[in-house]
Amino acid sequence: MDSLERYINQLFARYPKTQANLEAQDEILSNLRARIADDLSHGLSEKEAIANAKNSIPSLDFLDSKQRLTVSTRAFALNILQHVLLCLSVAWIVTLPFRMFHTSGRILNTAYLLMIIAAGILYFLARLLSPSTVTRVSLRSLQKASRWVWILFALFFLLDLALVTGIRFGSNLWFSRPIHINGPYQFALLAADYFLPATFLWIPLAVQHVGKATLEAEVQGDEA
Amino acid sequence: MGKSESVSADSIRGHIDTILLRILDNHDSYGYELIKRVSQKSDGRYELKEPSLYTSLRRLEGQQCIESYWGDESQGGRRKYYRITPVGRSLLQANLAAWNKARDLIEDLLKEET
Repeated sequence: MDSLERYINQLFARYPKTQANLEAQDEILSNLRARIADDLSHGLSEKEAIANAKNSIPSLDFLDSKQRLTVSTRAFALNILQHVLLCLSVAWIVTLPFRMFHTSGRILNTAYLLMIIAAGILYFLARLLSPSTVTRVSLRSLQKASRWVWILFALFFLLDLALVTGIRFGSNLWFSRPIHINGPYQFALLAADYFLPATFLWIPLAVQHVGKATLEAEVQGDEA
Repeated sequence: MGKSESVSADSIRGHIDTILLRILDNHDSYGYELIKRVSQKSDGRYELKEPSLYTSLRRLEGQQCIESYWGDESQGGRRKYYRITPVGRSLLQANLAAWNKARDLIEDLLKEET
């Protein structure tokens, strides 16, 4: 029976551990075991019975493709906002040094501070939500959204990388002149140009966390 | 599987919900037991596959025609049982009536031309 359980676990491995999926796993396994017991009583060998069982469930295509589940709105919002506050705090801290010598750094750092305040306000508003309010969420849609956000961020970052490199070193590259960095201050300015846009990493990280927040905030809901 | 067998599988597919409701109307049951009952009733002519079974059960549960509950733990793990609801009973009767009407109509349409 171990190989059967391993087979089912393998099928379910790529699916999120929602309540519906965990119950489906239990149900499918128990029905397959009943099938095997039946086959054995009809004289089939254990090997044949297990093979029959595995063949009867070749894939999990019949599961809810949208992977919808119900979440407590309050727990969901608080979880996401906590994570956002954490990411923004880190972004604020790492951009703090750039306040001293870099104009864009100063602006970005202030922007992060404002975002932290906004997220903090939202957090306290979310705490006022009733614990019994629920929202339906589709994990498949979240996964797609998360993938797109990562792609967009990668595009933005690469474009920005090319732009900064082009602006700073364009003539060096074009005229084959060696690059000279005259001291730590110029180096810091250069580093800032590359580093500051990278702090926007908090956006795809926050979006990716939403999927995890969904699972943590799941509650028993009515079937749609 | 011969061609004639696969044709009947297609024509039965649209009625699986009603077939399951009929069985559950008689007594509560769980997944594999439903598959066995279908096989017995058809004398082995039709085997309900697990994917079709689960799709149908989920659909019926979504329409509130059946409700599920977990049975006692046996050595095979916990079993999910299904029972029919009043909504399910009405749908069963409605579908049976619709099927009888359709069957009579088709029989008439397929009568030999005179």
